[in-house]
Amino acid sequence: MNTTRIKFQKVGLAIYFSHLDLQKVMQRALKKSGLPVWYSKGFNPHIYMTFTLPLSLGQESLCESFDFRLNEELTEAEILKAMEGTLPQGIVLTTAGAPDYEAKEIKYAQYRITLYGDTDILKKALSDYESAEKVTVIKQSKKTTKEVNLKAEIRNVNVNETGENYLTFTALFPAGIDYNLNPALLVEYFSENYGIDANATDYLRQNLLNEKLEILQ
Amino acid sequence: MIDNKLKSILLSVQKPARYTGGEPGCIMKNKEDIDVHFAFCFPDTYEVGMSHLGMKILYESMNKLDNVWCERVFAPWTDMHEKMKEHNIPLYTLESKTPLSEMDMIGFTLQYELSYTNILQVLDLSGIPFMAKDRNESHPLIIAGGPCTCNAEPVADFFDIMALGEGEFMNSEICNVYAECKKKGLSRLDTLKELAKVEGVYVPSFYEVEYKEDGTIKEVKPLYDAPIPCNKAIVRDFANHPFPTDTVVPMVTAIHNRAMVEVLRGCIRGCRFCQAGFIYRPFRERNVDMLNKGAYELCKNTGYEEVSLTSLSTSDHSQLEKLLDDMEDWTQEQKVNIALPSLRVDNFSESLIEKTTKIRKSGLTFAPEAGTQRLRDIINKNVTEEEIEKTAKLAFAGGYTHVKLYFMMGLPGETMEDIKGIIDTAQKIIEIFWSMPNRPKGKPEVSISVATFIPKPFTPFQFFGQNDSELIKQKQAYLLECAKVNKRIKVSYNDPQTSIIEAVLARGDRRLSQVIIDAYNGGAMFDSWFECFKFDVWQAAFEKNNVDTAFYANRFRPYDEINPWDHINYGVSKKFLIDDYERSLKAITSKPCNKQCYNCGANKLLGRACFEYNKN
Ligand code: SF4
Repeated sequence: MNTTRIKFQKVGLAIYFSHLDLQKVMQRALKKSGLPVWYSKGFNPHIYMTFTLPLSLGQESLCESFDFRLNEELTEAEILKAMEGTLPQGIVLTTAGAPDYEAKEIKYAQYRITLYGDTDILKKALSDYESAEKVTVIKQSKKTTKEVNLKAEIRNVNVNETGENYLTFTALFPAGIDYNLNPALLVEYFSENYGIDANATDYLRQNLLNEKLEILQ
Repeated sequence: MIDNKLKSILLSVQKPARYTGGEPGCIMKNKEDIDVHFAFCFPDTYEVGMSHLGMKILYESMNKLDNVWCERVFAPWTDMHEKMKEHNIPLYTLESKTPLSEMDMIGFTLQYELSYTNILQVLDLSGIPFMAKDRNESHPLIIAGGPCTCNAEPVADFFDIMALGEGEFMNSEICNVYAECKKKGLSRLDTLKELAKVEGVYVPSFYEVEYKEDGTIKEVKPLYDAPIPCNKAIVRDFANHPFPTDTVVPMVTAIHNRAMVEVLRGCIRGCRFCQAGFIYRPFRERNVDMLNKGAYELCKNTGYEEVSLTSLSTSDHSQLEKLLDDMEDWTQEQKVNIALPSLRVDNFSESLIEKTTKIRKSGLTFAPEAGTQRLRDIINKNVTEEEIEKTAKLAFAGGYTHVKLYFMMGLPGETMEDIKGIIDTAQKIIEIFWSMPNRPKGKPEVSISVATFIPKPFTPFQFFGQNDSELIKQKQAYLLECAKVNKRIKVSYNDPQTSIIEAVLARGDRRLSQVIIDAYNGGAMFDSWFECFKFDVWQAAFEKNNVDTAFYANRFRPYDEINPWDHINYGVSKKFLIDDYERSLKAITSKPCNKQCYNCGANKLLGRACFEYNKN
C-alpha cells in the first residue's frame, strides 16, 4: 500500500462548492480514474482519503492536497494522466507523490487578499488596523463563541498593491489541525467597520508554513 | 464570465454551485462553431433538475450534433431570485454564462403542473415576454417538452412550440429545421410553419379554440394546415436505441445522485389512475447486453457508486434477472451498488429480493394504492391481498423492518370502507411480522403515505370529478381515527390545497394562462415546495379571473364533451379510455398489455403490434 499525496489548486469556478462537495468530487474522480485505489474493508467499502487542510467556500488556493492509498506503485506521470478529465473546472492537479510533510507541521497559511471598494477607505482600513494595539472580533464555531485578538494572531500583514477601487495585501493566518483562523474574520471586521463588501473579496491561499515560517512543499 | 458583482451575489446565497456549472462531464463548445444555441431549462432547483434522467438524455443527444450547443439552466431558488432582481442580473446558462435572452431557443421540460409558475420566473428573469404573441424576431423560440405537454393548454400561450412525446429524435430534428430556417433568414412565423411539419411538434398558436356559453369547448380549429390531431413522437426501435454513457455529475448533491439507466419505456399494467402508464405507451424494453455494457460505461465515466435501473416498472423487464446476473460480474469488483427503484409487489420474486438485499439493505417501499380488493380492481391495480402479504413476508425475512406503503385517496368508487381498508392492510403487515419465527430483530414499522388522487388527461379517469377538499378532509380525519389501532402505523398525507391547483392545471384550458400570470405576479413560485406554496395567492388569481376551480377539478366530464387535450394524440384513443372507464365502474380489471391487447391505439405509433402474443 502506497500512501499518495495529490496536490491541487482550487480556483475560478471551483470556489463555489464546499469542502464536503469537494470530498465527493475527489472520491468520484479517483473512481473514474481507474487507478488501483485502496478501499477500506467491511460491508460498505470506501476510498480512504484525507484532506490536508479544509478550505472555505469562496476562497481560492494554490496549495491544496489530499492523501489516499494505492495498491500499486505508480509514477507521478501515470497518476496525473489517469486523473485527466475527471475533475470539475477550477480543480487543477499539480503534483502527485509520496507525502512530503505531515499535516501537524502546518502552523500558518499565507493568503493574498484583494478588497474592493473606495481606495481611500481601503487604505485607511489597513493603516488603522496596522496602527491599532488590539483588534478583537468574535469567533464563532459550532460549539463555542469566543473573542480573539486578530493583532496577536495574524502575522506579516503586507500591502502589495493598491489601485482604483481595490487593495491587495498578504498576511499569515494561523492554520493547521489544532487551530485555524479564517481570513474571512479579518475581512468581516473591515466590512463591519468600513462598509466593504465582504462577499466581493478575493482570497488566495498561496502557501502553507511551519512553525519556523518555512514554506511547506 | 462571473464578474465581481455576480461573485458577491453568489457568495451571499445558499449553495452557489447551483449557479456556476463547470461540473465534470459538462459540455463546452465555441459559440462561433454552432448554428443553434439551445438552453435546456428544468423549471425547478438544480438538485431536482439534475436528478432527472430525461434531461441527461436530451443534453447528450443534442450535443452530439456539431452545430448545436445545448446548455442547462434551472430555476434560481428564492434567495438568488431576489438578488438577481435587485441587482438586475439576467438569468444565464450554466455552461457559457450567456443570458437566456441571447439564446436561439429555450426548451422547458414540463414534468409537473406545479412548476408552471417557474416557467414565468425564468422568462421574467430573462426579460422575455410571457406571451408568445408579445414576442418578436429578437426573442428566442420558447419550447415545451415533457409529460405535461399532453395537456399543457394552461401554458400553451407562453410557448411558441411544444414537443409532444419523446425527444431523442424530435429535438435534433427541431434544431436541424431551425438551423435551416435561420440560414434562409425566415421570419418567426415561417419558421414555426416549417417546425410544425416535424413529427411531434405542436404549435399552439396554429390552433384556435372556441368556447361555448357554458364554458366548455365548442371547437378547436387548426390554421396553416396544422395537423389535427397532433401526434406525439416516439423512439420506435427503443430496444437498440443507445442511452447516455457519460453525464454531467452534479456538484451540489442532487436528490438522486447516481448513474441512471432506463431499462424500459412505457408500462404494461394500465393502472387507471396513472398518467405515466398511458402517455408513455407503447411498452418497449431495452436489449439486455446494451443495458449491461452501457451501465458499465456510465459508471466508469462518471465515477458513480450506485447505478439505478429505472423505468415505470423495472421488474416487468422480461430479462431483469439476467441483467442483474450480468451486472453482478462487474458491479462487485467495481464496488458499485445497484438500485431498483420501481419494483412491483406482484412479481417481486424471492431471488430478486435476495439480489436486492445483497445490494442494499434499507426500508422497503411498495404501493398497493388502495385499501380493499374491490377498489384495487376499480383502479386496475392488480395486486392481491395475498401478494401484499407475501411481499411483506419476503421483506421481513430479508431483514427489513421498515415497510413503506403508498395509497391514494379520493379514487372513483371509493367509500369509507376503503379508507379503513388502508389501515387494515397496515395492521395485517404488522401482524405478519410478529407471527414470523425468523423475523429480524427489533420492532416493525409501517409508514403509510396517502396522496390525494388527481384525475389526469389520457387516463380512463380523465372524466372523473375530483373529490372536493371537504370530502378529502373528512376522509383524512377518518383515516387518522382508524390508525389509532396501532402506534407502529405512521400516517402521512398531502395538503389538499396543492391537489386543487394540480387538478385544475392538469385538465385546464388556455383561459388559465392569465391565472398563472396573476399567480406568479402575486408571488407564487416553486409551488411544489411546501415552504413556498401560497394558496391564497392562487385563490386571488382564480377570483380575479372569475375562474371556478370546481369547473376544472370537481366536475364529471361527459364523454361527448371536447376536452382541452382532445386535439392531441398521445397514443391512447378516447374510445379506449371510455371503454376502460366503463370497465372500472363495474370493477372489471384489464389485463396487462403482454397478456391481452385492448387496442388502445399506441400500437399505431409503433406501426406494429406491441407484443408477439403467439409466442407466449
Ligand atoms: S395497443 Fe394494446 S398492447 Fe399496445 S399499449 Fe395499447 S393496449 Fe397495450
